[in-house]
Amino acid sequence: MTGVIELRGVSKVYGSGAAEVHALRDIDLTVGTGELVAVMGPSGSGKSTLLTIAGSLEDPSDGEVLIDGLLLSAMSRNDRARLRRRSIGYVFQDFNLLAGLTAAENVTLPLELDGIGSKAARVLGLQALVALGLDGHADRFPDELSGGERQRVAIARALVGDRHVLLADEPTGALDSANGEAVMRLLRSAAEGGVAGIIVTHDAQLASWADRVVFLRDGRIVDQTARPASAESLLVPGPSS
Amino acid sequence: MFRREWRQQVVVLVLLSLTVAAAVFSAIAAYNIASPISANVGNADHRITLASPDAGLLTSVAADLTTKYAPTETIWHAQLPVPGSVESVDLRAEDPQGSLSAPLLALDAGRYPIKPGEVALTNGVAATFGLAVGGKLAIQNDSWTVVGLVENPTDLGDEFVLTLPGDRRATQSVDLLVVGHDDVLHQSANSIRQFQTKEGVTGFSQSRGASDRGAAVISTLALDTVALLLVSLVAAAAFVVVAQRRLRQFGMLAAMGATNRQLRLVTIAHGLLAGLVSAVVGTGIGLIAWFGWSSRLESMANHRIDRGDIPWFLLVAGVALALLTTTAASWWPARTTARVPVVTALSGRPPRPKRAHRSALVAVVFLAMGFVCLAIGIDKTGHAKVIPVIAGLIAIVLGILFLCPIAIRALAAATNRLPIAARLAMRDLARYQARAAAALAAISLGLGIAFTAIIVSTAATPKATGGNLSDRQLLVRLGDNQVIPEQTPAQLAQLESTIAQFAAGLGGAVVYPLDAATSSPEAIAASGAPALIDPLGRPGQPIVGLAHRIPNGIEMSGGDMLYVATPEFLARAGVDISTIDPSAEVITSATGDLVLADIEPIKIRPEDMPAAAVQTIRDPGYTDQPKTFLTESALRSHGWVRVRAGWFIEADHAITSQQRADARDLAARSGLTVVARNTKRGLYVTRLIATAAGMLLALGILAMTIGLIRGEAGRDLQTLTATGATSSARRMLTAATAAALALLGSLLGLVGGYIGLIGGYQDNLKPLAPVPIGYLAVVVFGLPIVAGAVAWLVGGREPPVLARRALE
Repeated sequence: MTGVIELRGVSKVYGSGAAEVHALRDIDLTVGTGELVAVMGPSGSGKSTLLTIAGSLEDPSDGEVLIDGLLLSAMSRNDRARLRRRSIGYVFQDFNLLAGLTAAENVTLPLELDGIGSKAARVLGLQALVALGLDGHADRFPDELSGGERQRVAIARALVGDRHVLLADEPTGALDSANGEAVMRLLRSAAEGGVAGIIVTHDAQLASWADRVVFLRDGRIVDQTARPASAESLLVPGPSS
Repeated sequence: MFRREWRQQVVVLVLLSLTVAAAVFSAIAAYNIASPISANVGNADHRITLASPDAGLLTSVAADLTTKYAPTETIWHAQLPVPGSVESVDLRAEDPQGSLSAPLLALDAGRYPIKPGEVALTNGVAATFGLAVGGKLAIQNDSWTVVGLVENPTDLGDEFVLTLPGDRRATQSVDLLVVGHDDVLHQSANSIRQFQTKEGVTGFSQSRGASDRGAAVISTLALDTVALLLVSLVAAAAFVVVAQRRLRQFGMLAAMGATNRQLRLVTIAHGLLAGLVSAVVGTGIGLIAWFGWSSRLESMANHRIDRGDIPWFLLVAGVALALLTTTAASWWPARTTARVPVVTALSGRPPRPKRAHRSALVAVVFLAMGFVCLAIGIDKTGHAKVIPVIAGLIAIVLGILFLCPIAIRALAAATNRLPIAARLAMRDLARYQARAAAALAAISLGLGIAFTAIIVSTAATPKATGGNLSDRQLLVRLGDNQVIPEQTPAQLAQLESTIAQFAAGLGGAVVYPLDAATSSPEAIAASGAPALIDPLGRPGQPIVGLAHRIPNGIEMSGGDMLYVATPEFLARAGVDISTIDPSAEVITSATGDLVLADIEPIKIRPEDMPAAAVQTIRDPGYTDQPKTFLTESALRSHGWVRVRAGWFIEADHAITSQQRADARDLAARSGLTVVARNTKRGLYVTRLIATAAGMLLALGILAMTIGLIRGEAGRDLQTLTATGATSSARRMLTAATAAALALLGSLLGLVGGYIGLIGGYQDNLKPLAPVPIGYLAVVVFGLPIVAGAVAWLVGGREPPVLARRALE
């Protein structure tokens, strides 16, 4: 399988001397096109660090990270920023929407940052919002939206345009179970549309939406599963929010 | 409280402490720099100064007064010429042990003279003669041994030669220091009254008054109030940030049953504690600075300063002011956060900004109050009443503060088409309206002070057609408004030649001789009036002046000199002499009940003096240009005679500063005085300094407040970075915030400055007519550009890696 996201022997060390902490140790992980990988593990196991390194927000202490076959360490800071604008979408537990921007503006943020005019970007943003069932919410500010709606705006922002890498850190952590299921359904749908995704979660039931589950402990991959033959059959899908 | 948000706490504490330190230092300095109460009069209540060229008469009159007002002390003077110079030096016979004169004399080195032939010198005199203790002072035919160095601690510019009391050389004038005796001319505090004894000795008396320390201290307190107000606005912005960061904590406390009062108390206690810490630290720094720097202020104060003379009541007032302002600064955010609904607070979301129209209404009310207070507080002559002026300033500051929210919202609404980063910056300002408004108010106040300085200095700068003289004119004077020194025909011819030669050097200059009127020598001799001396000690003649009749007397007409009219000078002033009424005695632009007053002993009661027949002419616009003239017919009818009083020189081009300096040198050598255009360059420098200082102050406030505002938006930066924003987008975000606040601050500061000034100048708005557009434009447009550029340079830092929000 061709890896859209490839981590090769990635390690990450914070601090030095007595305060040295090994957040990740020798991680090898490849996520292909249309594949959704869930990362599970106890607190402090290195899940979020793995995500930030995969998303080019942080450099590994050792090892290599490739996105679309491009070695991140060989890229300039601006090139990595461009990669995030055009290829990588983030979804956070607490949404991280910019409170000063409307839902539509939050969605079009990466497009406008990439130089696309605000009108053209808005057209694409509205399409993304409609696709996620948020038509009519475009001009509302984040504090005028419910938690589920906010997370759907965040997913729309992560997928708007031609982006095909999705990194989600506890995307359902701040949602109730019904909204959580709905969000996972959207992420699953995105993967089926060709997006390569990594989802960090504590919830085994939600992890079962993934093609593969990777278990981390003390910064190491201690186990991983293969994709079940029929994921949907194992679940009782919740109502969409 | 200092375990969290320590950066904000440190910024606020440093800022407050430095302001308190500056306030404490400036209050002590103002108190001590002000003239001491003992200036001029020592420990006495009054000082009577008598002068006469007749030493015997002077001694006799002084003895009579000494007996009448006993106990008294006398200080005798004589002007000794400085060899090779037009300067003279004061020979002073004073008792160093005198109890009344004690504050006026101090020994710096050596000892006081104790026997004839010994003197002590002030440093300036010692430097003039190149002498030290042990040297020989030789003037004319006298010689003294220098035994000490002395000074007048209440006036360090007072240069003299101290000799023994009773030195017969010192008999030209005498100071009598008098205790008590309210009948010493019933003077009000600090007043100076001129008089003439029945024996013909002229003199003046001066009474001890309250020191001007009170006024200085009140002015300093007013300035301190404005400074603390400025800082409290910055502190308020910081308290808002801190309070919003604690919103979840407040929500939790409210959920547990805390009342609004208890919630408010958290932030107010914070403000109170910050005020207390900064008051203690600031007072300490201020005192240390005072003890370290006070000696350097003596040359500015021109008198010795007792560094231990600290106005403790002022320090207490400063500390109280700091506590008051910080508590007031924390009250607003305390009230706002305490009112946030519990659920909203627990979610950590800031409350939705309130509608701005209410604050706009309050702003208008405060601005109107400020205008009215300043209109009441500043009278036509520019004198200010402290309380209305301070109230007016505070009202205008509050008005601007309440105007800030609407300004921010208007800007945010008007910038919807900007690029996303700039748009986000504007939206954030509107969203976090409370802290942005406090920051904006601080910037506006800082710039308002600078704008006011710029506008006032422009108003005070003479126009090309105003001021004392045109830049093409020089007024060379012989003597002063009262006495013209006697000149032999040969001396006068020499002066005429010197003036003509100098004017020729200017190129294309016309010289107009100016004559004054004086009684004939026979009339002066017959009047029995004592001989007069001019300011350089030369014997002179009294001249006729124009006076205003006032209740119980006459008052000489300001600095206007009465010259004998000549057709040439009147023609130059645009007056056709044929249009002058033949009965007119005086041609002048002055108005009122005018009388002609001879300086010789006035034998007619003022109310019996006939009013002068006046023909009014247009004021030339220049204050020092001759504009009051005595007609030939008046000269003849009063039996007065002409005496040369000076020359008016008018070139056909602007006189250069070098030529003005040459004129002053010439005048000093020839015993003349010269008046040239006062360019008031100091005002130009004031404008430059105000422009630069205003911009620097605003940039400093911007740096602190932008740090607070954008620091709080760190999570947004992380989101932007995760979304692919480059450093350019982050720079744009900070730059747009800084430029927007700078632009709004400039505009609001300008509005506030003009409202205050129009209130203060409402009796006569003309001085405000020359708008210093260049300087104002530099600040209004330059500051946003500079602020934006600086913020762009420093605003590109990549935020720390994304992390989940720490649970409160």
